[in-house]
Amino acid sequence: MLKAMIRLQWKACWHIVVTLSAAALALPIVSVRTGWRGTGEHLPRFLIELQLWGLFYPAMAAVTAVVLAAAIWASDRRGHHIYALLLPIPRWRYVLLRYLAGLGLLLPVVLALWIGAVIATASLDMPPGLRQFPHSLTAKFALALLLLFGLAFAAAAASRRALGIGFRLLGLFVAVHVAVILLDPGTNLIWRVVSALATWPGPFAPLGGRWMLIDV
Amino acid sequence: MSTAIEMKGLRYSASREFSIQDLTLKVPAGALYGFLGPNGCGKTTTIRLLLGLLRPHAGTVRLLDRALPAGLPDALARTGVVPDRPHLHRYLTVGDALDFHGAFYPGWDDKWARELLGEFRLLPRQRISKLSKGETAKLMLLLALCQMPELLVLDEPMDGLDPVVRRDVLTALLDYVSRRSATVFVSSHLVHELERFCDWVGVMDRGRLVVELPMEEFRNGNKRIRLARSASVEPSGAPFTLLAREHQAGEVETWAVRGWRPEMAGWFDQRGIAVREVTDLDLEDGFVELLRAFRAQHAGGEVPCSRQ
Repeated sequence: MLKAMIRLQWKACWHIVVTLSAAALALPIVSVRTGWRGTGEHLPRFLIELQLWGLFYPAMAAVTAVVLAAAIWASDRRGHHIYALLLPIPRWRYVLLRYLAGLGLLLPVVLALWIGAVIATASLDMPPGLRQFPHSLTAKFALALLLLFGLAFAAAAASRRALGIGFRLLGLFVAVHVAVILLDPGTNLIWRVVSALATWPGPFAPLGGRWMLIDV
Repeated sequence: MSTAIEMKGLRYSASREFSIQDLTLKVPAGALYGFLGPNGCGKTTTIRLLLGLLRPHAGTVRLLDRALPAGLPDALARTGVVPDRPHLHRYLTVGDALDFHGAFYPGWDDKWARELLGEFRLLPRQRISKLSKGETAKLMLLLALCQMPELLVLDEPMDGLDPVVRRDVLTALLDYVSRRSATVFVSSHLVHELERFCDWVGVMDRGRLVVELPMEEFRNGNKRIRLARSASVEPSGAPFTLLAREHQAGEVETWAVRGWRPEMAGWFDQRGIAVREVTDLDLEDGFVELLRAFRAQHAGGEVPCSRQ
């Protein structure tokens, strides 16, 4: 069944996976090649530019997760889930099959990023004092992608009712934030929550921190 | 297993305007059950309740001896379904659809599926999004048949198909049923479509089951009776069901009745009314009169009566 599901999802999303993989392959290469002007006084500027390029990695993970999660469920949504619900397996198992097959679609993107990172770092004549992180950057990207795909997949699979509840809770949180700011302008509730989530041991920690392919 | 489908006291409200009310229905195992009703009467909703796509607000459903919703996966593994509208993944080819579908059914007969492709003049490389309406209908039936189900649930499977495709679909269906003794539950709003092959019929209107009986009884029990004089006669206590009465010129009245048998003429004799003629009511007319009578009753009125 999983094999059939992987084939089904590949048929639905192969063009998206290929496009995202090409982008993932290009990202580290482009980031390194555009800023590299040899050693010496150019190095600090190169590192700053590389840090800015680092913002593209979590963005790339977010785009990959959202686009693939939406594409995976698009056909079921179009058919009002009738086909899925008529299959002789419990619903949770169908969702699990979809999720596992979806993870399979993330692999080429991660692999492409890793290859791109290795090519990018191998092509440079690295000056002393700088270190390369192609493997750890890829691992960080994979973790971020896994996390964001889980969230996007859950949102895409959720019923309208569940999504409605989620949006209402979000609206309530924003309302509380506004109320708190009116009472005490020095307190930024959203920033506090985002910081707590995005720094270790928060669940979004893989998204935060430095995304550096080359660092001191 | 003597009953393939059993619904008891089913209630479901889709909107303020439409609801399924206290639906009780029984499909004997091995029956070719025609589920008749006008458009919008609740046939598709009933089928969705039957297949666990909707949850009833009250009542119970048993499908192939499995109580729903707990036994749904097991029951669905033995049930082939053709929904009212195409539900397949449109980006797949016909061959991909067969491979995907077959992976979920233990009884899937891939050899037969490939044979049926040829009989239905479908090519494995054809993309589903490019299939015509008739080809899509044939593919959906093929998928349902090749899982080798004990029960086939077909929601208006021949709606809008041309006569050639209709014949292909019907032939494949009847061939399968005769070989496997499967039960068929097929809905339609066309009486003649079901008359040809169904041996049971259930008629639905406005979310209620009007009648459920063997097709033979439905076909033969509906009569048009011309009476010499009946203005003063009320049908209460009659051994048949009066569907409609029509005053004609002079002292003649025509009754449309259901459940008629020849010996019932005595009921009129006792009341001094001469039965001039008894003729078979056309099946479609019988269906229409049945619905008219049902609607009149539920509107709180009498049997519909017209004058000419």
